[in-house]
Amino acid sequence: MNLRIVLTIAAKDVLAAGRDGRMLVALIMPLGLGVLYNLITPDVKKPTVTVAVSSAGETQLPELLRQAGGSTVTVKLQTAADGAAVRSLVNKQKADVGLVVPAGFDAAVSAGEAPALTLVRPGGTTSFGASYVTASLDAVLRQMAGQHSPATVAVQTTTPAAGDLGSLVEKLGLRRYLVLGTLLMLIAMIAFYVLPVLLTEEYEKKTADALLLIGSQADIVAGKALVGLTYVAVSVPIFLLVTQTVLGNPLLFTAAILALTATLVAFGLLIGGLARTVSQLNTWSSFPLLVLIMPAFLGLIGLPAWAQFILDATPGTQAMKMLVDSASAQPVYGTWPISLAVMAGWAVVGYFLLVRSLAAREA
Amino acid sequence: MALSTTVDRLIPAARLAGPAIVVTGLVKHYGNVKAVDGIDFSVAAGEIFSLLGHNGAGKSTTIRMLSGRTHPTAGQATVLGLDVVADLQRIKPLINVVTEEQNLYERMTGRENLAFFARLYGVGGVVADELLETVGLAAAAKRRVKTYSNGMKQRLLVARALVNRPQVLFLDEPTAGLDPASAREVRDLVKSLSSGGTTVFLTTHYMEEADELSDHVAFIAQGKIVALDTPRELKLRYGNRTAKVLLKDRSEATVRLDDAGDAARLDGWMKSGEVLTVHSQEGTLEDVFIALAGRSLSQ
Repeated sequence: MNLRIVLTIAAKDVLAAGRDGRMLVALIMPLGLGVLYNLITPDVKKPTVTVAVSSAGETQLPELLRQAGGSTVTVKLQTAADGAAVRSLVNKQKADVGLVVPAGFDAAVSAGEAPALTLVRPGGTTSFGASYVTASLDAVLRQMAGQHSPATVAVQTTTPAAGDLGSLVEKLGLRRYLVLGTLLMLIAMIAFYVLPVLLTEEYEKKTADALLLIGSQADIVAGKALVGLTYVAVSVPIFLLVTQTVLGNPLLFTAAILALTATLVAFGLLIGGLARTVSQLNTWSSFPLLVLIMPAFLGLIGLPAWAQFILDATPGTQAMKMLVDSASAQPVYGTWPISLAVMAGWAVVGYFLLVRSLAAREA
Repeated sequence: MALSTTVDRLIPAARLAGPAIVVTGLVKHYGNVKAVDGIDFSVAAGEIFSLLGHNGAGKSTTIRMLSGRTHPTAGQATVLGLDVVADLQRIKPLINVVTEEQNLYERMTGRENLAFFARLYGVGGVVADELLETVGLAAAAKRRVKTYSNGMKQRLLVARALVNRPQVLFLDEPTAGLDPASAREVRDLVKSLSSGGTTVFLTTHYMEEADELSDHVAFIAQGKIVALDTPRELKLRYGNRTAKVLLKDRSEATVRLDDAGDAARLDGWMKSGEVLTVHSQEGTLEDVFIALAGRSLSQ
């Protein structure tokens, strides 16, 4: 292999995309979809409950209510002058619920005197905020009274199934999941459409004959592979920028992108070498493209175990797991060694077949 | 086109003392098809050598073997003293090929095409401008190739084949499909290259072209060389030597000079003063081909 020839071929093809409408569409479409998902898909956020509080004296109740919200609910406190002001805020829907705390409330609770506490709820409608505060009050008041919980609850977290939308949404957000799915599509388009077209066209239009007068089949294929890596290296940061995707673990993200790109490029070039015409390629390349992209989105709907087992054997699913983990604050799957191993296995198969096809062509 | 001065700067720096190409018992089989079936010939350095034959006779396959694009099934060939199989990587920078297909990058400009191939060969991009000037495409250098006419594309192909200053240039049907003016320009370019020392290996359907350009011509039929010599010797050997005679009574007669009866008839007319004009009719390479293959190249 001749490095000068490989780099020259790659440079020619990288620049060629700017003049080829098909290449531009293949690169820009996933970027556009990413932006679209980013704009139209709302993240399911932690609900917020606004509580209007008037207190005749010092009390810990509002703060304890706020703390009880934890990671489930955000409790915002709004101080009111008196009971009338509390009712007014609830009536005007500026607060979800109101509390009117009498003087000496905390001391009376501690003494077990069961003091009166007024809770103001909006009339005529079922309010999540009001229901939440009503349900939470009992536990908070027991805490203020120094009473222990009747049982100790141990919380255990299991690894979510691929279809566990609740867990994904909680840890990552639907918007970011779809954006990452589109990122997978971007890399798949580069590997399974752009590269095969570039390669097939060289043979279809016989320009490969001119290249082979000085270079080799391996030079041509390596040049195209370099084009794929370059497009990914340029387009992925642009994608992250335009979709405003923030990464929790950039190292894991980079590893996922590199492993996926290396794997798919091998198969993309294999497909490009097998097709005789670009028209033939356009007809058949959509199948591997679908096989690769679909698992990323099927992960959202939940599948039977046997189907999930099959999907887990695909590089698309494993790359998506790594991408999800890299973008969320806490890992959702935590299975990156398995993901890398699966992708490496596919890469070995892909490059073995690619080398075999090159040897056959040279002969 | 002002070819000569520019071409002079593009000719190979070193000239080979021995033959540029030597082919011995070369064979290429594709399955049961014998594309080339044991051919032998040699091409002297700096000469124009033409290989003529029907489609499928083995011309392009021979070029593909000599340029390393396909391995021979048997036999041996050397280009510039180097074996086409064992020394292929050393041969590649020294040769180039103009293929029958106009395999250019059509979305790129003419200049970009040449600059790209110049970089592949490790030659500076400056050569691109020189070559565009050489083939008369300087004015169209910044136009995309897809806007070029067939003739312009063909000239660009020739220019591309010169980026590495090849010592041996293979031209596979270089004027096929060109209008007469464009074909003439390509032929002039080939002559200039040869006079500058480049060995040219040419395949063509056009007998007049081969006759005009070639130092030696080989006829190939069904994978075998059936005749090889200079165009003049081939025409003398296989062509009909005739003369057209216009007589005083305005009648015309064609006499075969090799025929004793016809020769005596002409002698009689001459002695009796009946002859107004005599036009010799030299045989053509087309006649040679028909004599060898039993049919013309166009059939």
